[in-house]
Amino acid sequence: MKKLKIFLNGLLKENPVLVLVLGTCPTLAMSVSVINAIAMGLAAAAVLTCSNMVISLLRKVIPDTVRIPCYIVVIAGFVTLVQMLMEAYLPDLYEMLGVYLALIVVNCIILGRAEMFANKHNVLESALDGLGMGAGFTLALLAMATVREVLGNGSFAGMKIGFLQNYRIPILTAPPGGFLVFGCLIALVAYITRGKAPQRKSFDCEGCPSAAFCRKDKASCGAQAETEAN
Amino acid sequence: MKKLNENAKSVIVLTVICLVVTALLAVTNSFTSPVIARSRADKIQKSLKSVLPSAEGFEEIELPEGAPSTVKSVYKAADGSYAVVLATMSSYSSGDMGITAGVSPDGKLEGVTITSYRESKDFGKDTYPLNYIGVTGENYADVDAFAGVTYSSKAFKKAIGDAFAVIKLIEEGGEIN
Repeated sequence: MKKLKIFLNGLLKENPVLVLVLGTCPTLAMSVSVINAIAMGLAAAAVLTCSNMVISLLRKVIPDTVRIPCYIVVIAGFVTLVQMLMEAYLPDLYEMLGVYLALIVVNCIILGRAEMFANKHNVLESALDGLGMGAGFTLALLAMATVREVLGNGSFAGMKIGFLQNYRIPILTAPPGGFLVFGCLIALVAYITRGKAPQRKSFDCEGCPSAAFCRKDKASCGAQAETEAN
Repeated sequence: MKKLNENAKSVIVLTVICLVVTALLAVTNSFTSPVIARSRADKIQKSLKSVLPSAEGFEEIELPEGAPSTVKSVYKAADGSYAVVLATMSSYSSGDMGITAGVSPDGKLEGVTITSYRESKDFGKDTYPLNYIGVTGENYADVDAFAGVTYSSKAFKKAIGDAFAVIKLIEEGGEIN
């Protein structure tokens, strides 16, 4: 039951895009068409699941001081792997995703889950978290792309919808339309998950995901700040 | 001593992770690179046919000395027309733009197509190149840039100029086969 909850969390309650507001750049850029959105979502989900599993497997080996570079190397490795496989076997999709495929390396969702979840949980739980968050990201992209493509372009997955051709709202396919739909979807999800979504309790050091690591060096950190102030 | 050990451990772990990732990528590259090379070659052949539909018997000719760096390869068809495969320099953008230009025996641009374009904002890659159809080495610069996507359209214009320049070099210096 706990395992199922980990998977389901990513879908709505802790949706990475619409609740945690991570990965906004690819969400806005790739949600103009449904096919792009699905391809981007699946590519990011594959990288997220694999990197979560590897980082969880290595969590006791990786020293705290080099954990971020290690995570980035693992994530960049998987992204390059996906790029090579896509260019070889799905060249059209590879062309369509363009520069955003390589930018998965710096997708906040992936580094965020590595830091917040995978380095504290076992491989199975991390894999489920990756799958759930990946599915949540894909669904959020799909929902946004459906609204933007159907209402903005009068088509769905490239197929024209006849009766909508004269009622298109072109701004929805432009960046301002992306922000508008994004805001509406965030409001809708906030309404559905009233009180259930995670709330940030404080904005001091304790609220930071790096608090545990930072606390170790707090004494030296404080001393340094004092020296700088003087 | 403890601090030194910790530092050494950090270096070793990061190095080992980098080596394992590199090995994994090398293995993947070994079986994907032939597939990628084949699909790129097919794409070039298709682009040659699309820019010079009536031409046949394309033969790749060696690039002359002093050819612009954007020119990747030149093909000559049996009827004397040329197809030039270009890739714009990455200095203008986040990725190279692949272009194939077809020039008829009378020196006019007969067809041009963009084979790869990795920018987030499209300048009308199916429509903008049509403005260049029929231009020659002398008047290609008269075509206007595309508002809002000026870097891409300037890079495209420069590539068209380079295509004419390399054909001039080949014809002046004689074919280098």
